[in-house]
Amino acid sequence: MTLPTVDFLVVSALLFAIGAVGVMVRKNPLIMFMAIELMWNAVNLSLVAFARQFQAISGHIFVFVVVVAAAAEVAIGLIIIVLVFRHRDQADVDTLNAMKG
Amino acid sequence: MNLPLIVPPQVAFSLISPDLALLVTSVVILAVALFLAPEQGIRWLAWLAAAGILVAAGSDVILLLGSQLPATTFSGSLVMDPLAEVLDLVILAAALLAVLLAANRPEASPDYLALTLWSAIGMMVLVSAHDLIVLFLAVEVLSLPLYILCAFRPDRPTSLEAAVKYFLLGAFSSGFLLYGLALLFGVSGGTNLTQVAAALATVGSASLFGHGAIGTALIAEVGIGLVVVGLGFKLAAVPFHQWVPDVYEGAPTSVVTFMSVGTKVAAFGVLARLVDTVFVGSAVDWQGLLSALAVATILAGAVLAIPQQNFKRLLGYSGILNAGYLVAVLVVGSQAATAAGVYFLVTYALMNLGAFAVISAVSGGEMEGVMIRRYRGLFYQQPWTAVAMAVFLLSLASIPPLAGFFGKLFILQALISGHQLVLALTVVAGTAITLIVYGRPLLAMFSPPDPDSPPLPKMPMAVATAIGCLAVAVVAVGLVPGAIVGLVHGVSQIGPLSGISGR
Repeated sequence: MTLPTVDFLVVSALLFAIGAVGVMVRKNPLIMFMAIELMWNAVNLSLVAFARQFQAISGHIFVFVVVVAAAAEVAIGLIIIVLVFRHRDQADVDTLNAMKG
Repeated sequence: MNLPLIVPPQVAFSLISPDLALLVTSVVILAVALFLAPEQGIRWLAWLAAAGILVAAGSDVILLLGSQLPATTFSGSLVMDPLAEVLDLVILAAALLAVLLAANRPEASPDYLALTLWSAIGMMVLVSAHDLIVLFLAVEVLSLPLYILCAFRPDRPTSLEAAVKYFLLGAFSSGFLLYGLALLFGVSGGTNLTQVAAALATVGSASLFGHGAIGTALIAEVGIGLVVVGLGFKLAAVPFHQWVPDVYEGAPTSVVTFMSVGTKVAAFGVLARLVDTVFVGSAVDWQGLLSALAVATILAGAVLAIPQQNFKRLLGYSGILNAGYLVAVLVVGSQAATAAGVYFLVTYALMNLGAFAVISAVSGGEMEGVMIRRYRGLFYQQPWTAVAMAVFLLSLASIPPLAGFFGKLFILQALISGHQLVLALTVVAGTAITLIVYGRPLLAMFSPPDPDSPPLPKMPMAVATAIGCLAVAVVAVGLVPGAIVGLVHGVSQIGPLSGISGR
């Protein structure tokens, strides 16, 4: 039995919303970054569902490109976050308030 | 599941020669750096990077003057047309100035030069992108090096704070852009913009994949909205602008110089291409969203710029304001309007690059040096620097007969001929408010100096030359506005690529 494409799209939209809310309510940059990754992977689910619907290989290639870009993003993001909080007691974006206005 | 065979694309290497020049230069820089002791020879590597950028600009000009354009390559996923090539030249100018400014600074290193070149490649690919996958990849290629470049002064807490803020908000907005692109793919079943445009032209009340509740028109509308949100972040449009002032203040000045112009050019280029090839012919309302974005961006940018004490923050809000003008002109959706936007972008790049070059030279890398109070009496210490800065600020405030005035004039013409009177009035209001914004540092420069202010750092020859050239260009373009109108007129030939098919 195959599930209809729209079901995948609904799950994908829910995952994307959970990720977006997670970014907005959490204060720890690592958790925020995990929530962002959830958003990206929710989109991947949509892309694969569309690609299956259309029998289009371009959708699968899109997913591979997104996965590679996400890996690069993780490498860079973790470096920056670790660098910042090496000299701080706690990892909390609310303490990043040297600049305002 | 049967998947079709992948056909290798035909590639016209001459069309991507500017990008290849930057790529080769960056690899050579990293390879040569292996054999140099640290702190040694960075001047030579900076000159090497500048030479590579000039070669790329030269091949850009050859393409512009030649008869190859417009053309597509990589199976129609990249478009090389006058729009892309003119914007490429602006991006290369920003990269060149960033390299010159960084040469004498602590942030100068082989990595810095290579990352700047890679980000420039991403921007140049983005303005040529004609495929959803290439579009997304180019946005990432331009953003990832910028995240690192913002953190290039780890000795300063503000540099790292800027990097974290830029990175988290950048990745967050990339998620929205990606979801938008995925929905456009879902409506059209193909990633090439030609396919997307064809699908969006026919969306109606038909439901998606035979499911009653979800219409294709709704999916297309949400997709376009999410794409505009994602690109609005890169363009620094309100309400996606919160990162701009902090990143402008915290990141090294040479990096801000590059990104302030480069990301704006790249985001405008891709939005203009989407509007011209996809949005205009679509059966979806896209103008309301862009109009609201433009009005909010112009008014918020202008008002928030008034109380700023830090010159880099002030120019950050000024960048938001100018992004608003660019979004406004896109609402018209005609090729003449796009040409007006490109003209405005060229003049904005000249005066903005000039202003940041002066800030970099006056501050000498000190945090205190970027405060506006530091500019008190600049005219009595370095008269020519003050005069050049006055030219840039007056041009930003659209005082005739400088370049900025004509950029604004063409935008107003495009808005009025496109019957966007509300937007035209907002542009006029924003311009009026900026007289206060740019007037304050202007008055400070020509008022008597503080007796106990420290002496200004000596300006490197290359930076002084660059500032002089930019100031002369701002005046010359203002006195002879026709000089680049001809160039920009060629840009208005873009359109829905009637002559060439996106195979």
